[in-house]
Amino acid sequence: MDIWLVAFDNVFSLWAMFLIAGGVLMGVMLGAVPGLNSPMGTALLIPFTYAMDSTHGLLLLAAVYCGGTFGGSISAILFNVPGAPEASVTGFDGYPMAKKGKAGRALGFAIMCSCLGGLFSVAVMNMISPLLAKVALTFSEPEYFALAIAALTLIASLGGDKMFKAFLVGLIGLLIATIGIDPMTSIERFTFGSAGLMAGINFIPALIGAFAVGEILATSETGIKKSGEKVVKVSTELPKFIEMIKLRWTILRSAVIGTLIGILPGVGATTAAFVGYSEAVRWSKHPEKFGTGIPEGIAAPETCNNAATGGAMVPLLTLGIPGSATTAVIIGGFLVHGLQPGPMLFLNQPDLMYSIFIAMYMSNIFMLFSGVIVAKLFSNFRKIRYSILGPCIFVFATVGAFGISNSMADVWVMFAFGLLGYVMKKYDFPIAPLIIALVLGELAEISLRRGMRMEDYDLSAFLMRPISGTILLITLITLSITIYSKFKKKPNVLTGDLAISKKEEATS
Amino acid sequence: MVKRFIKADLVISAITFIGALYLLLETRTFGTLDAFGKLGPDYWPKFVLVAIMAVSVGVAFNTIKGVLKGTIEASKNIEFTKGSVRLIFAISLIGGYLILLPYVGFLVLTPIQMIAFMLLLGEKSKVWIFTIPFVLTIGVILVFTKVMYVPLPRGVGIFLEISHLLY
Repeated sequence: MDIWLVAFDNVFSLWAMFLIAGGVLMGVMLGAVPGLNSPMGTALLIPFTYAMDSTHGLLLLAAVYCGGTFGGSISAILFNVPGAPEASVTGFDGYPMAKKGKAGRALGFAIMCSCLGGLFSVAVMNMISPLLAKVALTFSEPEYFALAIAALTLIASLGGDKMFKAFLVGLIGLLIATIGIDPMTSIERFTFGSAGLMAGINFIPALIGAFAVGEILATSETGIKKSGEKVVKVSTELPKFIEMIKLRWTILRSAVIGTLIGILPGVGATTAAFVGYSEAVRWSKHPEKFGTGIPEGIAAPETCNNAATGGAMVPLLTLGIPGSATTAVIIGGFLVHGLQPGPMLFLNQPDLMYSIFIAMYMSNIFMLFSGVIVAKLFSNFRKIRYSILGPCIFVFATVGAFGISNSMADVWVMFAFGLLGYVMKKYDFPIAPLIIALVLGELAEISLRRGMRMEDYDLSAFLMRPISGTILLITLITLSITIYSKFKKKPNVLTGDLAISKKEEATS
Repeated sequence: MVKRFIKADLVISAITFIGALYLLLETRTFGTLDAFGKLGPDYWPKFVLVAIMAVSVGVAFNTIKGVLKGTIEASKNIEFTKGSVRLIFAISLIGGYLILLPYVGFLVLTPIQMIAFMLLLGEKSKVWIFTIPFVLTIGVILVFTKVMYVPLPRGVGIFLEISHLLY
């Protein structure tokens, strides 16, 4: 109870509330503008948390994360241009509803369902995280290795048609994570005599480069296209209570699906939205209406993708394993404050963890207001040209990368990853596996080597231990399903194929 | 026929394969197994590199299959366009900025770089071009050096003296 009181005290201060409200507003705006996204925004904000204490810094990042997931829906509904990948499904029904002249109503459903999905998942996170952290305290090297492998295979298997590419990118991330002095033997690996590489590649400048600089370079090449979108002035119309009651089962089902998918390491809001939509189609009495602009078609993906935010925080807070690209970035936020997310943090700084829970509740409530404000102002800030925004983002990226250790080496790492990010974006290589593999690479390697030494170099012992064996078995099954689906050209529910095929069925 | 197969994915997988092979040879310098137990410092990198080589082959195979079936779009060819020239300028602008930053300093170099970048990206409004870079640079300097105590590069010689006027 004392911990809760401390956490309340942390969150309900004027400064903390200002940060949370500002973070949500910023997140919604970042999510709403195509070309900007939640991981990029969170990465660029990390430097601004240097001067804050760790609690306030992390509250800000958590708020941006919550807001960013919803923000993408605004442009998806108004222009059918999702501001973020997780909002792409919202456009299936949101845009047709907007075309019928009910954009405000579509936004109202999206905002309300996002808020409910987010609150549900935070409640689940709040309940299970402390319990899971207790279990995680019993974990040893084989369990951590199994978890790291589970996360890596899941993200790699998310590539769909690009499965090989996702695997390749993930493996390159693992390789980059080996650069520097080997922590177990102090042998230099792939440093080529460079002192700057001895400490390894800091993943914060890497992710700033991959997400922000890569995007700037890609836009430099493609040029800034005039969208030709009409100026849209929208007044959000929140749904009536009775309308929400009608959607109760869709919302509840989607909230559960989103939270569960979010909890899976490496699988994030985008998959949740696809699966949520496909399940809404499956359970609906009128599947043929999906894609024509019905509330269920907005409620399901919006509840799901926001429910995934709380879910994705569970592996991050309890195990130190990112549940999504943005939570991988949030790990950077922990690290710059000298904190290592994981079960020990629940023991050592429980007030920080509970502050994050409360901040996420508050973020989802603030999202109701931010969503309405941003939707109203959307046409104004859409006018900010990328020719102004791009150079500004670059300056923040440079200063952010430099500020990590006041070293130009980090800025060069950012630039190198910017080039890599550009190539990956241009040729359809997913960026998320690279970042998640960078975060998990050391954990996977060290836990394997220590675990093998512990088990007298018997790999089968990893399978015999109940927890690591179960995780590895589930990983193997999931991977097999994905590979089987890929080669048999069957829809894979893990990648959202089912949703697309169902939608095609429904609309045809 | 050869041109038909010069697809970006194929080139990337070839580069990745060759790079991985080179790094695999590099792992021989990491030390022997006897010294560090059965899983030495080279074990994991070797495993990852071999996997990279195998998956590179997979990507290449998929690309060849796609080209033969005609399922890979023409845009996936490696092309040199006007956009490529703009990209090269953007990369040079960023590279040049990073090279010069320690010598010229953040205060002087950043507005110049921003103006050049804005022009490169096609910004036409003179008001924005000549206000945003200066306002942002001074704002960033004040926030990062006075509030967050990040010692942004000050440059050398006369640039150092100019920087000292502000931070």
